[in-house]
Amino acid sequence: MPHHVIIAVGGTGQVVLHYYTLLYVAGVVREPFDALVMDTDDLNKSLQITQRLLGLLKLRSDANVGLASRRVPTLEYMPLRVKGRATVSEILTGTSETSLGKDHPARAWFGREDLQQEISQGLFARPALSSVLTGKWFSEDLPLQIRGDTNIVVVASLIGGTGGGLITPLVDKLRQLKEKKPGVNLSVRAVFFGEYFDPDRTGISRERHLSNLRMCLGSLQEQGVQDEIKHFALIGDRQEKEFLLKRQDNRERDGTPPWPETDTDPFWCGTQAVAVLLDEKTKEKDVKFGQRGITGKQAAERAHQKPQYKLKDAHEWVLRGTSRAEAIILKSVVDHIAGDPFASTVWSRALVKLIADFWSETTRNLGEDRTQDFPQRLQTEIKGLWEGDNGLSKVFPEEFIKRECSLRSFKRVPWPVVEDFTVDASLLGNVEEAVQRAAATLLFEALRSCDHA
Amino acid sequence: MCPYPFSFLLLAAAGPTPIQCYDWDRTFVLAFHAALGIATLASFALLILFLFRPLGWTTARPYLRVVVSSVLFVLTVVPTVSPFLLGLWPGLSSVLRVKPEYVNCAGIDFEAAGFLGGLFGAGASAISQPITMALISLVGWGLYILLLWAVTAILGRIRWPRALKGHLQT
Repeated sequence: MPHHVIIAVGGTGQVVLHYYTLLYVAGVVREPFDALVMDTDDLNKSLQITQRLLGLLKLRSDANVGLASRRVPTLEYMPLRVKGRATVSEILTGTSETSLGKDHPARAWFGREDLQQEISQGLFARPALSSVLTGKWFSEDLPLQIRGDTNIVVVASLIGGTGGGLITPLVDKLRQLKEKKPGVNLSVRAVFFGEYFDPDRTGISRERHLSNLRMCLGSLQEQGVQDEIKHFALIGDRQEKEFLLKRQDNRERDGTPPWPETDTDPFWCGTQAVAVLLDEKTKEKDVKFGQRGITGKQAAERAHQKPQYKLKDAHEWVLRGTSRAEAIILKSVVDHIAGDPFASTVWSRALVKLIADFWSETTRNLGEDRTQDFPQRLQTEIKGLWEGDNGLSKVFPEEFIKRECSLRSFKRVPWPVVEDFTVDASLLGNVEEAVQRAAATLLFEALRSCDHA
Repeated sequence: MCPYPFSFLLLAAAGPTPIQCYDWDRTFVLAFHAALGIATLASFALLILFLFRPLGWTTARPYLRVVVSSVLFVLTVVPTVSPFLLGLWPGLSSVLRVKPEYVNCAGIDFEAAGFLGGLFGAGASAISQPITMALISLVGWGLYILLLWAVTAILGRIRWPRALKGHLQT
């Protein structure tokens, strides 16, 4: 199985990655992955929360390895940000637009409005801005873990500012990376977003979106890097009205985009396209760039070969996982396990062993006196990790946190049985940290158990 | 008078008990008492299980636990409260002008039930004063609750060898 890497560029990339990580945490996506977010904006809240969870799942300090020696995904964030509240003109020329000479070369590339634009407010669908402003970044190495067979999928909107401006230099950067590591079999695929929402409401004209799209696809060819992209999906086609999205920018920015309403939701199609392209093993024939693309609809059809990728089924999977996670808190499962005389019989041997292993390991490292109340602290920590201000429940749309979950189902879950359980002592520096790691692992396993019970 | 679980069972085992108010077959009466005693004891045991919750499934649905606990509570409490009602019956019957013989079971010789029966208010058949009978019943009722609480508390404090701590490997 090739190593999966996702590079999410810009706001659109972040939303797609949000859905993909949500599906991973809920067990719909089984393969671990490494993700890199590149954006001029902050990392979405949901991705920040997921990033923290993934960090807590690590049980070894020298490798991304969690319970049962399974690989833990990573999520890196690369801010492409210019400090301060400077305008485009000030960053490019060192002076404000009003003081700029009428014949200054910057005016050949940017209009007055663009030069007066404050960067902190976004790039306003100007790809030229992102490629100029983030030029410095291209001299640095990408924080990516590349090894063996690696499938990289780049997710970017070609009609916006960030993705549109970065896609060509990024693909070129990946080409250089491939040349630097000849022993690595690196395949680059892409999920591009075209006209996937109605631009009217954003105040940016449709013409600008079309122009951006054309410019980006053109620059890929002109720079001679299009052949690096083995296969791509293009999401968003104005001819298919149902594929147009009503964007909810605030919720997207907050990192809590709503659950898609239909299978044709562009973000959902994009998420499925990521899954399809990451799994793809076929070598593309020598065909022209334009013929290497599939539509969002085609990507969805391919993804649906695995039933769990159908929106309805995915919803059910996620709901079961979140319900079980909720049940751990609402019904004080750990407290009960700590007191039940026949805990293994009632709750399953594996679950009891999982908690006991964490407790044992913590006791070995910190002494019995400090870990007497481990179960009670674990129960409290799970609640905090799930319901707190930056709790994991915030990653999931609100409608998921409502179903009653039978405690009998806990026994049916095939909790991982780890005969030789160990955690690096450096990761259990104090009881709080130990309890956090145990809570994160327990919640994660509960969330991902949905396909079994 | 007092069909507490123990007194039911002891009564069933105690031998001849004259029934004054009904002309029932003695065997039937003994079987009836024994069945009630076993049912009440079973209810008692289940109530402890539900209160103590040693089985995880009992907490699966909190409202179900409340319902089942309530039913069990009634099953154990009704026989417990009945002597109080029966003890009052002679007085009530006179007010209501109903002949007490029709329903007054207090004539059963509960002394045959022995010490436990007596402890729980069962051995008070000789006492004819309704208030005294009611007080004895209340004491029995109090002792019953105390016993329930004590058993629950003891079970809750036991370090069960097969609970989570029993799985630690340090």
